Amino acid sequence: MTTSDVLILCAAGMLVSAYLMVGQNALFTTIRLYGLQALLLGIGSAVIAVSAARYELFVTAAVTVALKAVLIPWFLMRVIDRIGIHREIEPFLNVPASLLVCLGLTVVGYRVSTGFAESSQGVSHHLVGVALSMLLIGLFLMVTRKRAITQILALLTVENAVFLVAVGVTSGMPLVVELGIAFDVILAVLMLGILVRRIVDRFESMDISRLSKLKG
Amino acid sequence: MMPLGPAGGLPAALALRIGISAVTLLAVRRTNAARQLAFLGSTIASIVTGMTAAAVLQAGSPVHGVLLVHEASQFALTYTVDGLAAWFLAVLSLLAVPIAIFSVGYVGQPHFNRRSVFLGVAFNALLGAVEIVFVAGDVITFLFGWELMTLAMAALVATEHEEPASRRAAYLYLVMSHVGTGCLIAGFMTLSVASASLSFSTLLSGVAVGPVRDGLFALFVLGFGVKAGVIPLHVWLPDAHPAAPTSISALMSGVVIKTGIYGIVRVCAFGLGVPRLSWGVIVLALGGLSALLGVLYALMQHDLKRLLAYSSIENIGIILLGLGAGMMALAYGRSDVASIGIAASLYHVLNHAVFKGLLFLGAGDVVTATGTRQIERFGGLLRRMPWTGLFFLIAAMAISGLPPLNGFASEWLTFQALLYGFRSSTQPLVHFLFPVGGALLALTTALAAACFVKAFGISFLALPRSREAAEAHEAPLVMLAPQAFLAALCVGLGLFPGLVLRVLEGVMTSLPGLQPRADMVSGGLGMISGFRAFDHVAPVVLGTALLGGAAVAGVLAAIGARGFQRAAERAERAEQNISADQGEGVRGFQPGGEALARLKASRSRRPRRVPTWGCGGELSARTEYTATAFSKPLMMIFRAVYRPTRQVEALAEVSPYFPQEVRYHSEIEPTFERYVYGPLVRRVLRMADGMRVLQAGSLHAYLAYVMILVVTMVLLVWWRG
Repeated sequence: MTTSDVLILCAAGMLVSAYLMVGQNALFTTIRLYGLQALLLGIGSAVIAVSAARYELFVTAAVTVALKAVLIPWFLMRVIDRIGIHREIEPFLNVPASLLVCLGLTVVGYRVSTGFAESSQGVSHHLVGVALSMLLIGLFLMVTRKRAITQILALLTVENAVFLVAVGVTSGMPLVVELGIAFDVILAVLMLGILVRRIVDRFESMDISRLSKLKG
Repeated sequence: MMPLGPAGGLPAALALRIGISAVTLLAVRRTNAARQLAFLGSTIASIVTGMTAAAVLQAGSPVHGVLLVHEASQFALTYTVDGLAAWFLAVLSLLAVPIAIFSVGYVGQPHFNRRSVFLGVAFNALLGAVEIVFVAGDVITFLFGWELMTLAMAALVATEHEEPASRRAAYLYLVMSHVGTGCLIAGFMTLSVASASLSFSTLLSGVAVGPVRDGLFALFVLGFGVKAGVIPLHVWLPDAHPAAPTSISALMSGVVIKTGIYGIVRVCAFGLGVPRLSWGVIVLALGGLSALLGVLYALMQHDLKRLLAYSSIENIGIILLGLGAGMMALAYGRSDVASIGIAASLYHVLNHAVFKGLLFLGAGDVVTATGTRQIERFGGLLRRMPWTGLFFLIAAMAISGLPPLNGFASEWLTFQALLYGFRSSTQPLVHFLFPVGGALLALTTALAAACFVKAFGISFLALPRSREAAEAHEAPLVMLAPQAFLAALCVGLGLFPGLVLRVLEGVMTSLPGLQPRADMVSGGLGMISGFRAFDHVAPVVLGTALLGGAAVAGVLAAIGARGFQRAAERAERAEQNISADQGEGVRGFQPGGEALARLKASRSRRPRRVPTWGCGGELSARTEYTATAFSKPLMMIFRAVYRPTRQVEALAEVSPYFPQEVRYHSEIEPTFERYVYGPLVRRVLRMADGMRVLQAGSLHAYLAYVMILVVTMVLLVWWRG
């Protein structure tokens, strides 16, 4: 098994985890799926570090795993424990229909990825295709789900997708940029976690469709 | 002494304004010092600008320069002071200096308090913005100045933001201005795309042709017309002027609305050119409409500042009449006639700035002294405020077009353009429209005279109609001196129109396609433009003759009055003798019969003195002619325009034949507001209601929009790539 096979396997795993997130209603499981996704992203970065002989990517991989696969899931689970809400309520679109839409989005993502000059080579093609699909699926999750926690996870999925493209196509961005992004992500999650608790305090629910009541 | 060359004057003035504003804001706690710094500093900046303008007008060669350069992109804000810009700059400076000095006193009133600092800063910002508009060398600079001007004006209109009316006026102004600016941006962008340039010098050099050119003309007339307050785009103007503090109203009416005229002259008449007669016809028609309707509405106003605001619309109309005649003459290729029309309109720009500025300052004095803007509550102010009254009278006479004041000079020139132009072409449209324009101008001027007889007479003559008017005090020197300066200008500009025309000749030779006649300027005193015997007028002679006539009339009246008084005294003595002899006399039907009867009834030997025309009773303010009554005959004559409604209500307790109180309410129909803007606003609001479905306030809906957009864009990239 060559490094590129491993890389494609990781990307495919990430896509699968995104699909599983769409099909999942239990919040704990969804968070674990996100952790899995981030772990695969970390492994993918490490593989690129080896294959492209860019060893500073190991740092990236380590930060990704530590932050996204461990720290953020732990924090989000703690938030859920505190507020005591464990399941997603009925989304705007039911699970089978959602999965069908995501299938369509994946097709779009893959089809579009052939248009980029960078994706003419085999590995990059898959990476860009997976990343675009994940980006669209993340957006779709945001549109259909009602729980604030799921919204955060969807946003993080989009972020993972962008990260995957960045690492996969350019063989790693400068370390400074990646560290900056990592801090951005952690700050965003912290703030969103706090916001979720405020929303629950105020509305006694995590259903963000109730936010429209704030409108004057 | 001029420390800066003409090229450096303008950036120096602008930098000075910015510096003054900054220091003023820092010194906000020391209100008095900050106010004085802002307004006196503004005076210095205006003088510097004025000197630049004067240098350009004298030398006749334009000054170019750069206000700001962005090094990285090599993007520069440029300015060009050519003849036209210098003329408008000179008008601005001439008015800005007295207004700034007036403001030191006016804004110092206690009720402005902290706001006076804000007013000082906004005043500087407004002046700086107008200066930028006049000198802008490229589109970006122009639009920057234009929008800065709009914002500063809106802030100044909303100075008294506790009043809902002020807020509404500012909002209306902002909305209408932005619609106008939208038109301008569309027009300029079309031009700059076509010519691949942003600079005015290359932008306007005949790029557009055919229907595109007509469309651009419409856009620019719309955009600039809103700012100028041309009817039917005027509705913001009568609301905004009364809402702003008076010194700002003076600046607004005197110069800021002239930016619209400047735009039409620069971009329409001498930028796009006049390819066909209809463009000139449109401007002429707009001018005639604005002039006549403006003065008609002015006549019916009882709020002094609102009256002046409508009168500004009228004067914009007169300016456009001259300009329209000039543009028509350009279209049929008679640049000598065109130069008379353009000169008339530019001259009137100056004159209107001077006398309307003076009128507003006088109104400011009156409003300060009485605390109200209602003419019906003034009366007898001439006795309490003689200087303000004198200056107001001079300005009122000037705006009514009486020789030898300046209003006469430019209005006469406009007449000449129309009458001389009539003979210069054989086209039927010209033969029809020029005399109509002249007739409209004549009617307008006469109605303006009626309007200002009312404004002056009801405000300053007769007896005070309210306690406030009776207790009014003359304004301090700092507010009177600027008025004296402007009044002197009114007289000077009227007496020596030749000097002004000589300057204007330089301005016009710098405009493309204009060739003023060599003999247009004859000496320093006269104005010749057409056939010698017909329209050779020397305002000095005319004015002297009129003044002489007035003096003779005065002397005769005085002699007559003396005679009449003696006769009255003789009659009185005779009457006393009669009553002493007979006790009971024959009651006469001559005026004063009632007094005679009372005199007899009292059987008093002492002569009783009562005022003339009082029919023996005591005269009080209740017997005075009111402003409403004064304008009533004209309201009846122009009933078709005003469509007045009247309501008389008699409050009676016992029988309707013995009312305790009669209430009279009369109003004219706001035609444009009701029939043009009402439906428009309703339609826009309905559309906005329809759009509300999109903005439902649901987070998921917004996210869905984002997603749909992303998917569409991704697909578009793929499809294109």
